[in-house]
Amino acid sequence: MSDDNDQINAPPDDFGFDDDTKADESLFVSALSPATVDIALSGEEDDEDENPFGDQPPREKTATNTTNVVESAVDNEKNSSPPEKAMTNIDEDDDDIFGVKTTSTTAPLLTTAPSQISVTEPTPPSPPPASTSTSANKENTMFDIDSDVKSPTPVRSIPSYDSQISSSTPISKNVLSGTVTTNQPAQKRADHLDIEITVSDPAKVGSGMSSYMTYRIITKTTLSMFKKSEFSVNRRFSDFLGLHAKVVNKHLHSGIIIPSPPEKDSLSMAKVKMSSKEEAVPTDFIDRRRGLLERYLNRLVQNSKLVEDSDVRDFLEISTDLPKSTNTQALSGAGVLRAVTNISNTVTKLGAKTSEQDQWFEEKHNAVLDLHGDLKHIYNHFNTLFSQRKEAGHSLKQFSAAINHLATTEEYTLLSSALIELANLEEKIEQINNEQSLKEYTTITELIKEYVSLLDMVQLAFHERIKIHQQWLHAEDTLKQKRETKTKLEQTPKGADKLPRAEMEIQEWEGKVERGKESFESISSTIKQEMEAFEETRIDDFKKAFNNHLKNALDEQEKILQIWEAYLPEVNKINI
Amino acid sequence: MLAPEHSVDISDSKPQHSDSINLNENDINIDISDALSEKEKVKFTVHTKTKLPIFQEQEFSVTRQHEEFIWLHDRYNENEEYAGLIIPPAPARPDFDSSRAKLQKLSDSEGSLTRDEYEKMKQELEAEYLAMFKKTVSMHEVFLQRLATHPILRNDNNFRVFLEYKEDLSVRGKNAKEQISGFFKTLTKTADEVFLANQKESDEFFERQKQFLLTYNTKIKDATAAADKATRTQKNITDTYIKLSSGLNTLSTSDKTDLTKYFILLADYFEKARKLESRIQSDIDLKLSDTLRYYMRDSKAALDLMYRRSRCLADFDTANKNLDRARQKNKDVQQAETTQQNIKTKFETISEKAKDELNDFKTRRVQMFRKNLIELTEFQIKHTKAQIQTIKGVIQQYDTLS
Repeated sequence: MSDDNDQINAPPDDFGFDDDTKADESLFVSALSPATVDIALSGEEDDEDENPFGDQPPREKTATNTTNVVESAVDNEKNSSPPEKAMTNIDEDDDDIFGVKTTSTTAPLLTTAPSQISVTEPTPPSPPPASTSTSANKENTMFDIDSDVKSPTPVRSIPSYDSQISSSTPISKNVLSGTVTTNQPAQKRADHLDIEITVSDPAKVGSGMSSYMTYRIITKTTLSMFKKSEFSVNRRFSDFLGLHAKVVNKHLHSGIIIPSPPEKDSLSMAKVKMSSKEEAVPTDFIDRRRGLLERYLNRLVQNSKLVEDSDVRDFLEISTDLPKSTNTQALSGAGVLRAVTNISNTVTKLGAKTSEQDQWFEEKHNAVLDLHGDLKHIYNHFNTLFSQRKEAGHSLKQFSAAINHLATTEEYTLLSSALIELANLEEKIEQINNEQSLKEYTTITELIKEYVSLLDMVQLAFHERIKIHQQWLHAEDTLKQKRETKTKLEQTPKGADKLPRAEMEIQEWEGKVERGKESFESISSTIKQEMEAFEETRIDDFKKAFNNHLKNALDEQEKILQIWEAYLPEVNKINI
Repeated sequence: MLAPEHSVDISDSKPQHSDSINLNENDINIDISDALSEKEKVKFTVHTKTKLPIFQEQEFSVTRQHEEFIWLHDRYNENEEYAGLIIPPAPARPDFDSSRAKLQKLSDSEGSLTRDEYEKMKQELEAEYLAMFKKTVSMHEVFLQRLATHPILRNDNNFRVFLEYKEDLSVRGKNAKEQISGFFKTLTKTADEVFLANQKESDEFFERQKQFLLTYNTKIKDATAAADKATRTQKNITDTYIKLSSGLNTLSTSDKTDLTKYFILLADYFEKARKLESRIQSDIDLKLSDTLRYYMRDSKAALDLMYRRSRCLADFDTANKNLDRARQKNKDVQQAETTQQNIKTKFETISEKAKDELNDFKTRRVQMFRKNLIELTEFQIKHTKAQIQTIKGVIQQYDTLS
């Protein structure tokens, strides 16, 4: 490292010697230029990138550019291009020296550009000290791969850059860049966010048809974005639907798989509303809804992109009532289903341009469809099973009562008591069966239902991608048209005055094409990440559910065995 | 499956009593060695072994249909000599209609089920049919065996004919006129019973017995119906297990992740659980429901006895009144006296025999319940243990997968 330091010290001299004024100018310009100017730092895409700068000489000259520092330093080593590449590649989406694919790190990088530039300043604005230590490795790597980069500022700027790449916590992102960017590696299970939500205490507010249920939402978390580590609020069901609507509006188009809340159930709610204070509120339905709301929220906050959303945080934190949400119909399960089927009727394929990545998407999409269908099918069966178990429970209860009556009639006392014991036994068994049935429902049946609706949301995300692709293609077509129009105009004498306008339009559409491509690539990579996390979660959830179910079943049978074994001596008491 | 000719080999499933037990001098050993299901009819092969001189042979078999059993029962019922006895209840008519309807429904819906599901459901139905078949055979058998062991009833001539006569008994079904008259007889009997319900009963024993039997019969009818309903609802559950198992298998093919093995494991679990559940249910049915059903019928037979006695008592009262009136008018006294005397004797005989019969009824009932409840409990313990083993096995497999 000391070597490097020596060499680092060298450039300033050279720098000062070379095109000083011009360097100052460019320094000045680049320090003030907007984020997009970042592209200008690259040596390869000179022509277009030059535009913001207007008259700046081509980059290859390197003399007037902000990366002057690097280049001049490198000049000493006769390796001008690699360091350029080293710096420039950082800006692009390719695998660079750091071996990390970074997409929109250009913006953050630029904000630290000033620090790169001010070589003369002994202490450039330093990035968060925390990152320096973590990026030591990266520095070394960088130096290993390309020992030619020796300027002080790149070294110093790299740590800040590194921290953006390597860390996946929101903290550093917030510090380094104003906007939330999606430059994280795929979330692993180990990144289970430390936030836990319970939904409890359903309480009825008001009476008659205007009444509603509120639920208490308690959040426990160590995430720093929240003001406290434990807090609770009261919310009603329509608040959940409102939250969902907002989240979908904001995030669906970036390809995030958004979990959905339980559906509206007007019939059951009507019963709840109409039940007077004396009658029991249909607790079954309310409790099930409570459980589903809890699962929904927990799933929602486990998505690190969504938990940062201000609406989500407000929902969990703000103690005052939220404004009433209307138009919640569209986002009910039925609404989503309609949306999905509509889209699949119109746009399903990407068209001729299919790359390997697109093949991956198509396969995944089909797999999702298959899984969705099969899960729905089996959900119906489990549902049927639940009602059948309920019915069997009723019959068993009736049987127990009938045996009891018979026992009271029976004149032979020992047989009579044995029959009474039998009636008791049957009733106990019924209770055990009932418990098990409920557990089975919550563990497996509800989980399957959740995944059926989650897969619906996955399909929506896939469709968003297709939509964006369509937009991109459309932009390209329009651009082509505009260019053709321009060439035609160039050929006619009259068209000359329309030329500037045509050129403006071309620029506009070129921008759109660029943005379209970016969006498409962004959503594609987001979906890939999300799918990975989704599948992992899915496998985990199902494994856990099956395990629980088996353990519960074992428990049930062992209890039943105990009951029958206790009965045997009773029955043996009958003697005649 | 429900072929026109369906023979169930009964002999394999039961121990051959006649072979292993030494025949007593007075024994009549009866069993139904074979049964053939032919369209609407079932043909039972009644096999008898006896040393009694009254029979022409020592071992013989005849073929009998259900109607001929009913004929025998009716002959006993109508016989005044047996008025003081409990006549063993007639076996129920073999009814495979529901099984047949279910099979029809299954083959209709064959298209909507997977191959796997269809096969399993068919197996279930076949097992159900077989179980029902065995039950009806057993019912007919028990009827005859009870007659054979009853000291008085076994000596009946009709009984001998039933067992021995090689030819058809030509018991034609009742024609319309006889059916209607039969219907009216039941009606008058029911009305009579109501009338007699208020009869003053001086004998405490019989008073108690009557009250007991009346309530008991009602309650056990309810219990039998409830037991059958419980069995039916349980059966629905095990049928759904078939669908679950099949659905999970489908999932295992469409899911390309790690979960495949888990789905297969769970599908297997549901299949095993289903088989055990079926066995549990059929044992409950056999040991508990059938016992209840039998005593429902038997208690009805006891009630019939009580009825006959009541009727006789009522006749006795009438005869007494007639006698008094005759003595007053001093006309036909001798006749009235004879009638009264006859009825008195009849009544006393009935009462005496009835006492024995009712005590015997209690003993039989308690013994039968005891035996079947013990067997039921032992089976349930065995099956539950098997369930536990199965689940533990699946959990073990699950653990090795993870």
